[in-house]
Amino acid sequence: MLYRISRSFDALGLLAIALVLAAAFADQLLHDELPCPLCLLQRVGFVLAGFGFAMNLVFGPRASHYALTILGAMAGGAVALRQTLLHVVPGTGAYGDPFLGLHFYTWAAILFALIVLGSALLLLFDARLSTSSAQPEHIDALARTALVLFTLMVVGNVVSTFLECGIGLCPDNPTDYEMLG
Amino acid sequence: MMVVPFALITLALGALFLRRRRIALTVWGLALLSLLWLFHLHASDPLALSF
Repeated sequence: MLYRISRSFDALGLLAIALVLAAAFADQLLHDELPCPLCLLQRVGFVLAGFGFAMNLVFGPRASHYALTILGAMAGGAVALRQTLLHVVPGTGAYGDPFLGLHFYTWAAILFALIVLGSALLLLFDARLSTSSAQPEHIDALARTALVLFTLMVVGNVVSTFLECGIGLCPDNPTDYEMLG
Repeated sequence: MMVVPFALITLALGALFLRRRRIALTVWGLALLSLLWLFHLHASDPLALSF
């Protein structure tokens, strides 16, 4: 029972991260706001964190998979905090429009902290970790949906980042897609 | 170079779906290192702040 509930939490965590990436994509495409280099690195942080949940769904829950999620969220959180600090002094401007009163990088810092907290809470219930079998895990509809959406977001970011920056570094304040110009 | 971590994670996802756990973990580690390296490049840039 506990095993099934925790698998649902893993799937919901992955789905939530995929939706965060989808929201960033929607903002990029609908408002024509190109992600800055630090914004792209925060997306990488979400992808790295989500990968731990994906590993849980495919191979079964393990402490090492939650470690991937926590490490990815900490790396992404460091980037988000740096960008927040760059703009925390009045008069230093901001990047992008605010959403519900906060900029995306501030939301990202909060979400990364929540991912670390959520992973730590899931690690508290460690009895299920030793019961994961060596057999391939059954992937239910929710897990399959989360995995497909997450994969689509990762591949979409490969294409989008390549179109925006090519094979080099992105400009600090990108205005158009380098590979389409 | 910004595309490198996303490309590595795509490869890691490929290994994941092929159920190659060690390869997926290794490529995930490379993606994390590439993120840290790109972050270092950005953080070591002189800031254009004018106080």
